[in-house]
Order: sequence, then C-alpha cells, then structure tokens
Amino acid sequence: MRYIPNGGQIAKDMLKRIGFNSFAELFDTQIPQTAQFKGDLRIKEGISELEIRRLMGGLANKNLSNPSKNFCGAGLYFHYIPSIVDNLSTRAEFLTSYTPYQPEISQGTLRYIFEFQSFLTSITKMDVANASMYDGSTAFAEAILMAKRIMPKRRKVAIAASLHPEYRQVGVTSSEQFGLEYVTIPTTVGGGVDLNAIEQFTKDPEALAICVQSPNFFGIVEDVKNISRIVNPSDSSIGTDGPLLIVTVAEAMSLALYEPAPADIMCGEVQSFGNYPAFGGPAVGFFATKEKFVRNMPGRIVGQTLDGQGKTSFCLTLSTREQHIRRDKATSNICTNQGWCALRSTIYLATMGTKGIREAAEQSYSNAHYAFELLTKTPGIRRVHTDDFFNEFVVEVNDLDRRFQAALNSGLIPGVRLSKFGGSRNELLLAFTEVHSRSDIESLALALRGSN
Amino acid sequence: MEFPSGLYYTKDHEWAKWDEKTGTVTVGITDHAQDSLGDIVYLELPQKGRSLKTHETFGVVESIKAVSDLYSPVSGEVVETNAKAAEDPSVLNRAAYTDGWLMRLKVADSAALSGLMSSKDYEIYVASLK
Repeated sequence: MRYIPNGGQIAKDMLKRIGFNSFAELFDTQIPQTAQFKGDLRIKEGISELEIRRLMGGLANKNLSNPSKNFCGAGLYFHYIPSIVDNLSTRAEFLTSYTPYQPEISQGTLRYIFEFQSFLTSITKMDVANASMYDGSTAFAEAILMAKRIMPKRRKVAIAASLHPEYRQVGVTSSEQFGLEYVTIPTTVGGGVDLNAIEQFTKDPEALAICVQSPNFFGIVEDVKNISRIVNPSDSSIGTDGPLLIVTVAEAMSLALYEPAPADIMCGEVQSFGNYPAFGGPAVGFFATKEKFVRNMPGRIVGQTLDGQGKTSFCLTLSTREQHIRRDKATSNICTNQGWCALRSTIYLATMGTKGIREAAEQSYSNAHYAFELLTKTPGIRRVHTDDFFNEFVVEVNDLDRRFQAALNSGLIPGVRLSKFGGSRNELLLAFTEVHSRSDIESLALALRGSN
Repeated sequence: MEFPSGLYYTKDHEWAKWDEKTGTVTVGITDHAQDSLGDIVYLELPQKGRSLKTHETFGVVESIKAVSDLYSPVSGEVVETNAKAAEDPSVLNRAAYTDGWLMRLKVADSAALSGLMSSKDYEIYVASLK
C-alpha cells in the first residue's frame, strides 16, 4: 500500500485553512505543555545496542507491570492468556495481513472472523454479531447511531449514570450532531440503575434508546432481566413501539457467568478474551443485534456460503452497504474491523471453551469477593454500594491519597481512583481476576491499611 | 428490454403511471434498472402518509451487487406501498412494470408528470448510456 504524504505547499495550505502557520504551532495548541517534551533525550550519543538495551530495560523495569500486583480494571482487565494465543497470533500470515479488500481470496481471514462472530452470538444469545469494532466505546457510539437509523423521528437517549463515563463521552461526541438529547438514568444506593426512571422514560414518545451497562462501571451486576422486561425489546419493531434497549458490556468475562437478557443491541469490549490491557489498548469491540435490524448494523459481517464447486466457503455479507462501496450513503463509516485483536479473542475462546471461561469468571468473582471481605473489615475502608458485583467494586477509603501512595511504594497499584472520572477523592475502584492469588489479595489489604 | 408505452420515465430509471380515477401515481423501477442491478434481495419502502417531493429519496433497493436509492418521480403523499414486493423483492426482476410496483402517490394533478420522459424518449436515453 502506498502512503500519500501531503508535503510542501499542500501541507501549508491545509494548515492555513485550519488557522495555523506551521505544524509546531498546531501541536502546540493541541498538546498540553506539560505533556510536551522539549530538548534532547538523555541518551549519550553513539552508544552500543547492548548499552541502549540496558538503559531502556532499566527504565521499563520501573513500571509496576506485574499483573498480580495490579488491581486496576475500569474497562480493561488482565486475565490469564494461554501461550497458544501469543504463539499463533504472531505468525506472520496473521500479524502482517491487512483487512482484505479482495476478501474472498483470503478464506483464512474470513474463516476466523466467522468463528469470532459465531462465538459472540453464542455468548450474547443474539441473532447476529459483526466482525468486531475498534473498542467498547466506539461500539457503543455506533449503537446509538444505529438506533437513530432505525427510528429516525425519535431523539431522546437515556444513558445510565453507571455506564462507563468514557463510553458515554465517545457515544455523545459521535452522535450529538444528529440532534439527539441525552437523559441520565440515576444510580440507586444499591449501585444499579433506577428501574422507575427507566419505566418513566419508556413512556416518552420521543424515547429512542435506553443504554445500560452490566456489570456497570462500579462493578455492580445490573438486573438486566428486569430492565429487559420493562423495555421489552422483543416487541420493538422498526419505528413503531417503545425505545430500543442497548446493553453494553465492558468486562466480557462476566458473560460466562451471567445469562444475558434480551436486548435490541448488545455491544462492548472483548479485550478480556485474549488481549492484554497493554497500558490502554489496542482493545477490541463487539457488536451484536437482532436479525431484523441487520441492515442497520454497522461494520463488516462475514457469511458462510458454497463456492462454485459446492464447497463450504466464506464471503463478505451485506458489504454493499459499507463505505468503500456506498460512499456517503454507507450504513456507517466503519468499513473495517479490529482484525488482529479479534483473532486473538477467537483463539482464546477456542482454547478456553465454555468451561474454561466459566472457570476464569468464577475465580475472578471469588477473588473479588474475598478481597471485598478483607478490605471492608479494614479500618477506614467502607463499602459504597450494596448490590452484588462481579469482579470489581468501589470502596471509600479514609485518607486515600496517603494510602494509595503507600501501596505504590510497596510495588502495588491498588486500583483506579474515581476522582479521575469525576467521583469523590476517597473512592477507589478495584478489579480482580484469576491472576490474583489469595496472598496477592492479602498483601493488597495490608498495603491499604495505611498504618505503616 | 421493455419500454411499455403509457408510462412516464425518469433519468433515475423509475417509471410512473397516472390513474385518472383515483388521482394517484404508481411508481416502480424500470426493466433496464432491474437488469443492471441483478438479483434484487431487499427493499426499503416509505411509511404510508409520508409526503415526498420530486426527486426525494423514498427508499432503497438492494441487489447482490449494489444498494441504490429510489427517487420519487413526482411530489405527492404515499397512500400505499407494495408489501408483497417487500416480502419477495425478486418480483422486481420478474415483473418490474406490473407486480413489482413499489408505491402509490396521491398527487394534485397529472401536470406533475409533464416533466418526465415518454417511453420513446426513455428508450433513446437508455440506448445513449451504452
């Protein structure tokens, strides 16, 4: 593939058009001063490969990257990844292949995408799933846009306060130009969505979609069965009945433990299946819906068919609605998928099987509940919500600033501070998976005592 | 290729048929359109009661090769759509001018059709595209 660098006069014209004289000026206004690096790297000139490896390796070792001493979740989770996933996914045929624009010649790629879709429909109990999305937040944004395509005359979107704040941001940014109005569904003391507020909203004739997440941002398992009964997605036919129900999932491992309830669109993140958190990505989104909505579904979908000789083969389905063919009239402007990460999820799921992911989910659940017991018995640490959670929960910690720093000093990252997301300064969100041992959890509780 | 007389034609390959008695115009796609699209697999038709302006998009026709917009040949209100064709869109390939009709529009008068092509003009137009 050829890159088309717009240099010289073209670059100058483009910069001028958006009001800048140089690239330096453009970056200066967009990147915070504190995040800009000026000057030279503190690396001696002309040092050998061995020396540079020693230097960089030393710096890398300063990271607290040991997963068993890291209790951060909030949308990305470190689950154990069997070696076969790294081994197979880094084969050159997979690692270097780009999205096939003459797709039918790449039967191997289409095959694994088809398997990915099949795994997702089986896990979500939905009719159809696409070939993947960039990540959970963009999948959520596409879900709102899809609802708008299905019911163009409605304009109110209710988003649970307990839905991941970054998903909400991306969802609103991507859809607000369509004249939508956003309503927030409050959180109860239990930590889940307020069912009464949902019931009220469904009666609004302008109600377009209800968006909830389970387990939600605080780790609480939402009563999706009841929400589903109230919104009644099985009844929503195109453009006539009540709002659509959009259920997002940020921790896909939960799907191994909790039966999904009927929804119109289910979407979110499957990084938990075979992909590392890797300091924030790349992640991989999923998107599933009912068959009757398939023509409004964004993204790519692979179908199974028979070739000219009657042999099973795979093809792109409904690609006539994709951007590379339908241009500005395409269903969505995602015209590709998150191929390699989706491949890793496919290999992971094929390796683990239903039983394997259930075990991982159960261990994550019991580790989190063991930690909850220990921590809420620790002086100065209190529970925040009362409903049951999967592998993540919020606690309020007296003097969190000092205790958090003490934990870091002992080589642990005790979780994600909710002040980062507009929460209180003393709130801490902790996540647990099967990679944590009992003794890891005990050292966490000890580190957060804050007495030392 | 068929170009039945008595119908009006557009450059977007729709046909329109005026019915004096009911004051409605029936709309469909031409034989040339169905032939160029290939096997038609899906149709999106407008809601009843919708007001359309001349050249406004009223739906989508999808074949195994392409997805194309449908443009209204005249202004009017949608009074009926062909539910049978929506169920089995292949009827557009078999009978584009009869059972494959798409919608009926209530229009003010037949003057709206005066800007469209006759069967002869359309036949010449299609020939010029080759």
